[in-house]
Parts: sequence; C-alpha cells; structure tokens
Amino acid sequence: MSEHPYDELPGLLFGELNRAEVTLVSDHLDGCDDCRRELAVLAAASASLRATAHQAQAAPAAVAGVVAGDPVPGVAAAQEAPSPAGPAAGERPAGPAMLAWPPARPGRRRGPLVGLAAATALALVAAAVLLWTGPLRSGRPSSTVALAGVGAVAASGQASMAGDGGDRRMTVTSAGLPALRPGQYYEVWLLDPDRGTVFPVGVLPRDGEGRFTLPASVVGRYQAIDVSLEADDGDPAHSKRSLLRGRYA
Amino acid sequence: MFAIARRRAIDHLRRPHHVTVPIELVRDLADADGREDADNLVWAREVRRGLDRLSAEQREVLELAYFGGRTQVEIAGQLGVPLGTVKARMFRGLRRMGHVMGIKRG
Repeated sequence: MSEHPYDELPGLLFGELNRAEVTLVSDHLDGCDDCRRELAVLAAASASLRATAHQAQAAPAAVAGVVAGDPVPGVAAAQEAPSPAGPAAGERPAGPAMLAWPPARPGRRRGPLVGLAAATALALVAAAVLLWTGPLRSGRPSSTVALAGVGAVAASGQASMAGDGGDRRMTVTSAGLPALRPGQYYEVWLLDPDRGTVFPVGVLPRDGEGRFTLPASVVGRYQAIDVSLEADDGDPAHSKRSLLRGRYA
Repeated sequence: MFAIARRRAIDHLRRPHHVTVPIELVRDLADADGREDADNLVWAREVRRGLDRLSAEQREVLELAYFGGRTQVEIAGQLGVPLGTVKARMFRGLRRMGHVMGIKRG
C-alpha cells in the first residue's frame, strides 16, 4: 500500500476490502485529512453514479436515455394498447443486475439534498461493511445485424456496430414493435445464448430507435442483441418478454 | 468524516445547475412530483457528462461496476488486467467525476 491508500478508497466504499485492509485504511484515515477529503469526493461521485444507475432502471425512460447517452427522446403521450403477447425468451434473468441502491432522489419536497447526502452518508458510515456510455465516437462501420421478431412478434429491426479502440457504438432501429402501455418500456440487452446471460445496454426510446456506446470488452463477451418489453416494476432483470433478437457473433 | 461528506454533498447540490432540459420533456415528466423527475434528469445528465470526461479505461471500469454490478476483482478478470490497475482506474475515474461534477475537496 502506498503512502496514501488512494487506490483502496473505492474498495472501501464498495465493501470489497478484507478485514486487514479495512483496518489499515481506517487507521490511515484517522490521521490523514487529505485522504478523508479524497474519500468525501469519491463518496459523493459514487453516490451520484449509484443513484443514477438505479434511476436508469426504475425511473422514467427519459432519465435512462440520458444516462445511456441517448439524445433526449421526443415527448409522446403514453399509448393505450393491448399488451403484446411476447413469448418468454427462455433466457436467464440473472445477468449483471443493476445495483439495488435505494432510489436517492434529490427532490426538493422531501427536503433538499436528501438523496445524495443520504447515499453519501450510507457509503461512508458503512464503508467498512458495504459497499456507462461515453461520448459517441465516430468510427468506421463494422457490421450490421438484422433483428427479427421473437415468436409471434411481428416486428423487425437492425443494429449496427461501429467504433474502434475501447468503445463500440451501437445504433438500434426497429419497426412494428408492440405499442407500449403506461409503465412499460423497451430495453436493449446483449445476450449470450449459450450461457444464458445478458448485459443491460439501456432503454430503447419508444420510437424504437436508440444509440448506445459500450465497452468493446463487454460486446466481445456476448453474441446477440435482444430487445425486450419491460415494466417499470423495480425489477432490473430481463422480463423474458423478448421482442427482437439478432446474433452478431 | 460523515460531516465532511455531508457538507460536500450539500455544497454540490446547492450549486446552481447549468444543465438545460427541454421544457417539453420536463412537462412530460411532471406527474405527482414532476420536479423530482426533472431534478433526476438534470442529475443524470451531470453524471453522463462526468463519465464523458473520463478516459476510456476509467469509464469502462466505472460502467462495469455501477451499471454492470461487477466487483473490482470481477472487472480485473474480465478485462485481463491486474486488480491494482482496476483499483487505480476506479479511484482516478471517481475522483475526476467528482471534480467534473463540481464536488470540491476541503
């Protein structure tokens, strides 16, 4: 451990240090104002990320779109329509779930700053116990994948991947998706059909078109793109109601 | 330590927000407590902007941790880099995010 255990501070916030490491870092923090200030900055940034990641799942699609780097979706009234009979995809819901952090929301009516302050306080008080996508970069088009309706879903679409370096820019377009009921939204996933795992890419705006940027390493670990119908029910797992799917590897 | 963190959080959130949100979108969000949703939208944009200012390596580890639910050990395994590298990227990424979002040190 270096003179200042800076690199151990995130692990302290995440609860990923062992007992000896916690003791070492805590002892250092007792006498180091500099590290305490660093920890305060990290805790606030961490709380913002956790709260926003949670909002991306639990809050309106507009917020999730912003988190995912999408253009702000247009305003559209909620559409009343029969629920699509999306067949179960037969895939696992146990992929990398969003962090189940309390929805820290800085609403003025509930008292200013409660959200972030509470999350920060939790992160710090419980530090010994507890504890995506970048700018769209231009890149050469590399591949386009056709997305076909799953089961009886009469929809179609395509996904294009582009980019070099560490990022992959994915653009999803679709047509004929079942109309959304209030409280429903479309979500894009990466899927490994063999292992039955998924990675949440982000919310697809109701117009069926979205742009996402993913770490190339993540894209490389999956083989297919899946678009599902989700309900804003607080469950971050895949609903098993797949609408579109296409394999890219 | 708690007092410092709380003060930083309060200072950060009391800062005037300079992010603009289309009025149509805010109106769309205006439900029983639409102001909260509007605040969340602004907050999400600040976070988005913070992530955009990171290096690709820093952004990758933070996204895997916060949006992918991965531990630092899992991230190191997935990326094929030493755990110490992940820890360093995460620390620098979080610190830079904090600074970009206007969270000041003491």
